[in-house]
Amino acid sequence: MIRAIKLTKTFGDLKAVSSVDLDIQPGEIFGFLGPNGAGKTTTIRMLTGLLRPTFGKAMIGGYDIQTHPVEAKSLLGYVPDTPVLYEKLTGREFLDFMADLYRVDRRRKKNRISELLELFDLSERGDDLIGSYSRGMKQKIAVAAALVHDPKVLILDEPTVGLDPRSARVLKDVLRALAQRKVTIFMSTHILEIAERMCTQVGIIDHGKIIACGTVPELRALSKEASGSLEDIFLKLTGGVEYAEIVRFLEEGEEARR
Amino acid sequence: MIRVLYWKIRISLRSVTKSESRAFLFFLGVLVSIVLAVVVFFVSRRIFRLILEAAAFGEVAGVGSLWVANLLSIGFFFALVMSLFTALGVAFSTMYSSSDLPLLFTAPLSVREVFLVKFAEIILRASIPTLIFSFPLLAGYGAALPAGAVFYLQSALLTAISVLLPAALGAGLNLLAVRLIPPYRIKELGAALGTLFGAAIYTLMHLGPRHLTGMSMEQALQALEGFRLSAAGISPAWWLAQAAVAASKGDFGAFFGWAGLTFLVSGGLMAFSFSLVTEAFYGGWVASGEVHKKDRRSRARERPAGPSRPGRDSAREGAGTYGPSGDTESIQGFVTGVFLRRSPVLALALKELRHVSRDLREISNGVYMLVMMIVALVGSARGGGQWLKGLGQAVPLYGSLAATFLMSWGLSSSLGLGAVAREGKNWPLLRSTPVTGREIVRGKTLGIVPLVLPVALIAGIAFTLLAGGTRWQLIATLCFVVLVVPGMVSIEVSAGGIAPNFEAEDPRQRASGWAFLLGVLLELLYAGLLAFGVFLAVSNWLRYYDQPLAESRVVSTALGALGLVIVAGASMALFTIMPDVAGRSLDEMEAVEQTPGNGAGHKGKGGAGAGPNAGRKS
Ligand SMILES: Nc1ncnc2c1ncn2[C@@H]1O[C@H](COP(=O)(O)OP(=O)(O)OP(=O)(O)O)[C@@H](O)[C@H]1O
Ligand SMILES: [Mg+2]
Repeated sequence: MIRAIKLTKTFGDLKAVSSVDLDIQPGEIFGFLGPNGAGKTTTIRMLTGLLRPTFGKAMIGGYDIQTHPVEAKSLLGYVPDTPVLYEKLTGREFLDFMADLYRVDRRRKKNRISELLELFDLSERGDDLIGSYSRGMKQKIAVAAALVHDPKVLILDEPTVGLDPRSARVLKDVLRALAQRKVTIFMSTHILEIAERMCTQVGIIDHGKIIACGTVPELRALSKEASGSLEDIFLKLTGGVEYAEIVRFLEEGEEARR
Repeated sequence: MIRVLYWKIRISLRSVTKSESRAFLFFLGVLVSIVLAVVVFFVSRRIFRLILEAAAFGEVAGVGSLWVANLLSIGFFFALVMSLFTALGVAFSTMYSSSDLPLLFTAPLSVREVFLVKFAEIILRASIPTLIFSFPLLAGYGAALPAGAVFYLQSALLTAISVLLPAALGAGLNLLAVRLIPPYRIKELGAALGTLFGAAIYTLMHLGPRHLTGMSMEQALQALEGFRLSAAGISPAWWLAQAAVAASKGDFGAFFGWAGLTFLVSGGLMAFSFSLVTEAFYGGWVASGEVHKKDRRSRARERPAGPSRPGRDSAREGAGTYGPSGDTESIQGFVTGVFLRRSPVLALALKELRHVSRDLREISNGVYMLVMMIVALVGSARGGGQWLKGLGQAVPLYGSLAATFLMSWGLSSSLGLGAVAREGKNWPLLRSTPVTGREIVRGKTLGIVPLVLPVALIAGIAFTLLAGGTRWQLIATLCFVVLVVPGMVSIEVSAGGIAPNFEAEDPRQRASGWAFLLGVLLELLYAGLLAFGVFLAVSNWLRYYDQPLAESRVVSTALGALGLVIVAGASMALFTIMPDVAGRSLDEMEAVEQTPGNGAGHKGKGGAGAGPNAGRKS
């Protein structure tokens, strides 16, 4: 459902994403991991057609997102990395608006919006302006908006940021249920526990290159960490933490205090 | 604290040098300021010379210095008012809408220190008008005398003091406002007031000179006398003027007296604001970014209280109602599908309508535009009355059509040019949906037309009545408005969509200068076409002229119809073509802009082996 072919993006001299290949099947939950600035958001923006690849192609459901944007985007639900939404609309109006953009028909739309608001515990605040929402509420309404049109492909950029435990749980359950119904899910996250527990496939990107891709056991084999957690694998593959540096930093702090 | 200021200055310089066009604008601004200052200097020198010469021949000694003091007082008054507005605006933006507030408040700085940082910022920025105006004014006076070097030093001191007052007042008023007005409203209110003040100033500047030009020298001097009465005593402008006069006479005692008085009052105001700071902080300063909840009666029909349903069946619920809508096969389904499915274009239009009407800033911008247009129209109507008389019976109609066109244009441009960029940070989200650029532009146009239309209709009625038009002319004007506004709005929205600035906070900066020019150009072409169409229709149907264009009734009717077709056709054509062009250009664009100055540090070469730290240390 999601395919990237030699996807590349450069910003000036900086190769933010270089030659990324992906092929994600329907019903899969793909976890996209990588250190800050590795190129996750940039990849996602190319997959969703927000950035034009410098080289390569992104396909959603068989449609090239650049040449057939409308067809491809109709299949797509997208949760951006920062929930900036229309502050002057109410939550309900926003979902209504998004549903119309995806041409959801009216009778289904109404039910769907109430259900989603209920699901994410937002019914009470549905008629308040989004500008008055808390960060987590904005995140939830953004996720709800991505689901309003029943997408075949769901792309989420760090969707659990700011969610309370219950909402994070709801989101995880919803994603699993969607995957069972053959919706393809692509999400970037920094929470390795989520990736480990939920994702059927994990890809690790660093400096714009996919350095590992596969199921968690496959990655384990790759990193030769027989019993390691995904965290250990991740740190090993992305170069690890330089403990000496951390220690030095802390020591300097100590000295300064004295 | 000093370091904080240092960083603030660095950051504002960075935003100037961010792009070439900005640097160019900045440079242009500096250049214009310098030119202005020089002009003020020479004008002031000339005027003061004239006065001093006149006073030398005057009957009563001392009249000269009175005039000088009056003029200086007026000058200072003008400068103070200007700096006050600047200070109010700056105070407002640095103290309330500035994004660094949460950061500063959580830093180990006391509330008062934050206030001082902000105060320094206000002074820095509010001093620009004084530098352009007050100092050259004094210098001009000094050159006319001519005065010694000490005078210029004293002038510099006076100028510095004169910034303090408006800055303190601006800061104080802002802090007071936050106590009196709910914090979540203050941003919008401030913007609204600011634009209204701007409009008022514009009105004064535009209408004022018209009254002045008719005056003789004597009358002007009398007006000056009158001003002295109102200005004397309690006016800081008067104090400053007295100080300047004293300085020119070398009377140090008087100079320091008057200057000290001004300084003390500024200090008092400043102390007053300072004492308010802590109050204001807890009263809402810290929370001035809050947004109000929409006041809805529907709170009454809130979900009945009861145990919420933590995650119950959430999985099933989340997915339960998915599935293809098989019912569209049936006829009923088909009908609902066609008629009830709201199109994206309409959804965008509705959203635009809501967005604009809920944002006081947008509305105040529109009002500002309208006030300016009215002033300009009234002003030019006074001057151009004679000229228009030559056109005969059709004058009321043509006049009201033109005036209505201009009014509607002003409003369309104020609301339309920035329409695409109004999406701001939502742009990527919108672009991830399956709507085309064309649909976006069309939706926005459709959303703005209903905002412009009522105003345009009212303007049409008002202008026709003012011009003494007949009932038929009124009807013709209203038809004209309905036909013409959609085309006008599409021009503006589309022009703005060709080079939108999604980063702009201020609604007025959402469209580039090029977009504005393009809009003006297209509107002028449009106006020309409309004028031709209207001329054909009016002259053939209403037969206002002694010599009809065509003798034959049939030909003349046909020509009139052609005129009407031109008017309607132009609007329709614009409404279809313009969104297409702009939409295509939007589709060409990437939804996320590249931030320049990237890739200098690390080149992203370090692959898997290099580790994350390898590239990042530099
Ligand atoms: N609009 C842009 N203009 C210029 N450079 C950019 C832009 N967006 C991203 N970059 C650069 O591209 C690289 C990859 O950024 P990206 O946002 O994709 O990282 P990320 O993996 O999403 O990081 P994070 O985990 O912090 O969200 C970074 O070096 C970043 O500086
Ligand atoms: Mg990111």
